[in-house]
Amino acid sequence: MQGKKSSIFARFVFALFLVFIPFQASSVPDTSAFYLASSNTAADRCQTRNCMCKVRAGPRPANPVTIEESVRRHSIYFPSAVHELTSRQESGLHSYLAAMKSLTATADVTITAYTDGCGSTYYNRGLALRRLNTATSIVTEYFSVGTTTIHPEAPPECPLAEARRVDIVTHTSRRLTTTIDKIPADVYLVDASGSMWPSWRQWTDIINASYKPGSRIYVSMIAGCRTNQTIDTVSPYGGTEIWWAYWSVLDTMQIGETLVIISDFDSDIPLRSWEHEMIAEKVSQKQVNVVAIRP
Amino acid sequence: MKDKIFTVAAMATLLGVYSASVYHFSLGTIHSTLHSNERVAVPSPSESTEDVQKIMSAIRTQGPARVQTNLPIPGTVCSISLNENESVISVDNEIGTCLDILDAGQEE
Repeated sequence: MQGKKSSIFARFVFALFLVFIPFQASSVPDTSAFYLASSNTAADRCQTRNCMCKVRAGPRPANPVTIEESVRRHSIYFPSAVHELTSRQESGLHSYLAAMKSLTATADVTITAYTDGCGSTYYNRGLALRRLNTATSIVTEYFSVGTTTIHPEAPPECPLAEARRVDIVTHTSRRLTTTIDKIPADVYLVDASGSMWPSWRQWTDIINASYKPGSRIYVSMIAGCRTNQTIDTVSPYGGTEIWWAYWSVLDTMQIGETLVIISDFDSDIPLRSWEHEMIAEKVSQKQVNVVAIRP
Repeated sequence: MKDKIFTVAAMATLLGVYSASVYHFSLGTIHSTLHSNERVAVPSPSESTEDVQKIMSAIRTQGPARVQTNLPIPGTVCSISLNENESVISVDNEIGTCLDILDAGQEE
């Protein structure tokens, strides 16, 4: 008798919870509802994961005829606390500059010096400046130097051999390509929606941009791209879902890194104010720098 | 006897929690039902063409401007616009300012 009563009580409690649980579930906010379009989310509208694909910079032709086709970035690596070039490095730089000069007589050049995280900020600035001056003295024999930048590597690891370097970038006459070249970023997010690139020319600028070595490149597309595809084989397509890609790419970033987003940010469904705040808060929490380039 | 009291007490507690939750989640509906009679009466639509034209004209001329919430871009330290009408110097200045901001951020 006692066992039967307990069983009835247990069934009653179970039934009560079955009825009660749905009420509780309905009160939990759905995180995937971010960037809603009435009934469906940005993630639902994309066939690609998080509305983006990680891609690689494309290969350059073996015998370039124009400056756009050539590898326009030349990197020189230094041992720790050294700013002088070896005779081999000097010879390599002269060969690169002569090759660029043969493709374009007048070009603007940007030189960026980096250091790793070893030593104090004050010391690293001095070291980077000395490396910058070493490269500048040779480059000015061939081209005018438009921009010089000292940029600590992010994350500031010690030791980090690939960060002890100077990058020399020869620019094309294209405004978009030059802008991407000039801003050193760790992550690039390129809006590859169809409406953004109506002309062939501008997408070519994206392909020909000189991305910082070791950086990660993502294209924001609703469909039509795959992971590790080279960027020159991507064909812009579909609607703009840049916000969801922006939100997602932040998860891949580390403290101090720089993200460059190339987009017109003209999504069909405007970002709502609370979504705007959520993105800004996430950027602040991740402690990353975000730069927007609107072609 | 003790078991009976415990069972009754447990059932009463659970029923209380359940009723409270149902009441809580139904508040919205109860509120809207209670105030449904207080709504402002909407005039019946006019069939006059002249009236329709006046309304459409007012919508076209006095309608709210489209709010662009996409801009400014959230979380950015700087935004560079490559408008074809802008001069190269102006774009270079924007890039320079942007690099200065990034540099200042790195030093902190």
